[in-house]
Amino acid sequence: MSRDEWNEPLTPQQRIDEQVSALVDGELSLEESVLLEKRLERNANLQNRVLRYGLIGELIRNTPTPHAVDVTARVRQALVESPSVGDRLEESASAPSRWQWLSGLAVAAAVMVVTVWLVQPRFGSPSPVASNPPVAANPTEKPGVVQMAATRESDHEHVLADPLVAAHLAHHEPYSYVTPGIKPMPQAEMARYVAAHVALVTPSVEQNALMNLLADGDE
Amino acid sequence: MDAHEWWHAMNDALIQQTYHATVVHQSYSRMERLQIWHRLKDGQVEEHLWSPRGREIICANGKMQVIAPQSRSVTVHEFNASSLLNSVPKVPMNVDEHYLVELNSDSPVVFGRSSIELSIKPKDQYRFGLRFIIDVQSHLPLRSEVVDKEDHVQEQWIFTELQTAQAVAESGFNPMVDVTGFTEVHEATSPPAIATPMPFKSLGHLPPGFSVTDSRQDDHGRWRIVISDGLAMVSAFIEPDAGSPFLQKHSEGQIGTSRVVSDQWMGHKTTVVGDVPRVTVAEVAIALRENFELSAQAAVP
Repeated sequence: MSRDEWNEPLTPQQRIDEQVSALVDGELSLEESVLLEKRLERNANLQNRVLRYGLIGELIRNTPTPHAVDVTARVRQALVESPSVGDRLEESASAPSRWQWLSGLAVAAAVMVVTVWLVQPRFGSPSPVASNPPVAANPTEKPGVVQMAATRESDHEHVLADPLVAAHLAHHEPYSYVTPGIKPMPQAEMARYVAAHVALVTPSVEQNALMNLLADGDE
Repeated sequence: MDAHEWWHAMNDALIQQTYHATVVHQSYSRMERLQIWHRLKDGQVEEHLWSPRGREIICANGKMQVIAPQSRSVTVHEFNASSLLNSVPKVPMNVDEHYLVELNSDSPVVFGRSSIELSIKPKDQYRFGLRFIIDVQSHLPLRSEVVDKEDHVQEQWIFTELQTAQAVAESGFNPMVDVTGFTEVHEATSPPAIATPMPFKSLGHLPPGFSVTDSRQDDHGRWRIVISDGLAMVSAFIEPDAGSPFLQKHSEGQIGTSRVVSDQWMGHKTTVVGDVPRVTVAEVAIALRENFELSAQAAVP
């Protein structure tokens, strides 16, 4: 039985709830969306409700759910597999003004940095390719597996240490376990390839800029 | 005008029109708001984007300036500006093979203005669709959505306020903050990579309608291949790989509407990324492996 059949008018709160739900599902009319957006602008509680409905909607659709957590915390979590980088990010996090601009910067440059690393290694960026290992920094290190691992970690660190990439990664809510039973791709790895893809299919920096302005994370 | 003509008109309007708009972007549970001022001046696009969080981007005179008030810095990129909002895809020649492009019969009236609804529906599960509500008067998209085959909205943009033509003040194209004393950083622009032949003679078994549109190899033997149906874009990266503690043999993920599948085999690592359903990137990954194995077998004397 529908509400109309009950003949019970919606309360203003119920109407807003329904609008929020419809917005998240893409089912709200444009006019109502505009009005709701104006309410959202004024009402933090309503913004939280949009987030909650979004999460519920994703659960209903069996879509993996992103975690609504502090950006800095998420970056640190994302970088936990590279302790040295994590340490560096700890330092960044302890300097809020610096981190805020880093996370907030419209990361047009992030795509460029990643692209340069992946696509244009000749400009001095380290390479992850095993066939071209750099010289070990410590001359006492033995070549072989250990050195290779160090090289890979160094490359990984290089990418992750870039605060713009970290900000990009933090905002974009990497999803885990897209398909049950399949291992998730490491978040930094995924962010790097997505950024390279964006740069590749829309090669001009300016067309990435809008996306990156939106990718400025929370402050 | 028919559906294709409206699509062209919308793309033209995003470049040619002068407008000031508040735009809301929603993807899953994320919602962001920004303002945009746009005009064409002396044949060059000028654009100003401002996020309530404080960041600004100004494109004018062949430069893009990214202003970060908190760090008191301005990062300058040298390039010939075009529209930042012009990420709406151009109309591909073969679009009707895999998409149904049509105007919906219900033409919504938005705040007293007439609009039309343009729908670009995928004909199968290998690609996402697009839906636009276009202002009849200005031809600007008031709303754009990325939808899957089941019509679930994956991502949407909404113009919540729109001023056109003379209503847009000159001051809108200036920074919101006084940048006097800000540190200016100049970013180098990468030169274009050189297109080189594919590692395979052909790339068969791709999802219907998809074909290789570009392939490049860098100095380190890493391949980047672009695969497209004309509208949806997929990138494939093939890299030499001798194993790594950071990688797994098969892994997947998703960022926004971008799906990623990565595999390691035969001393190589392939990573496929695309703004397409998961099944498409998975199929492309399988096709790469099949073609690579066939190529390797053919090379054995």
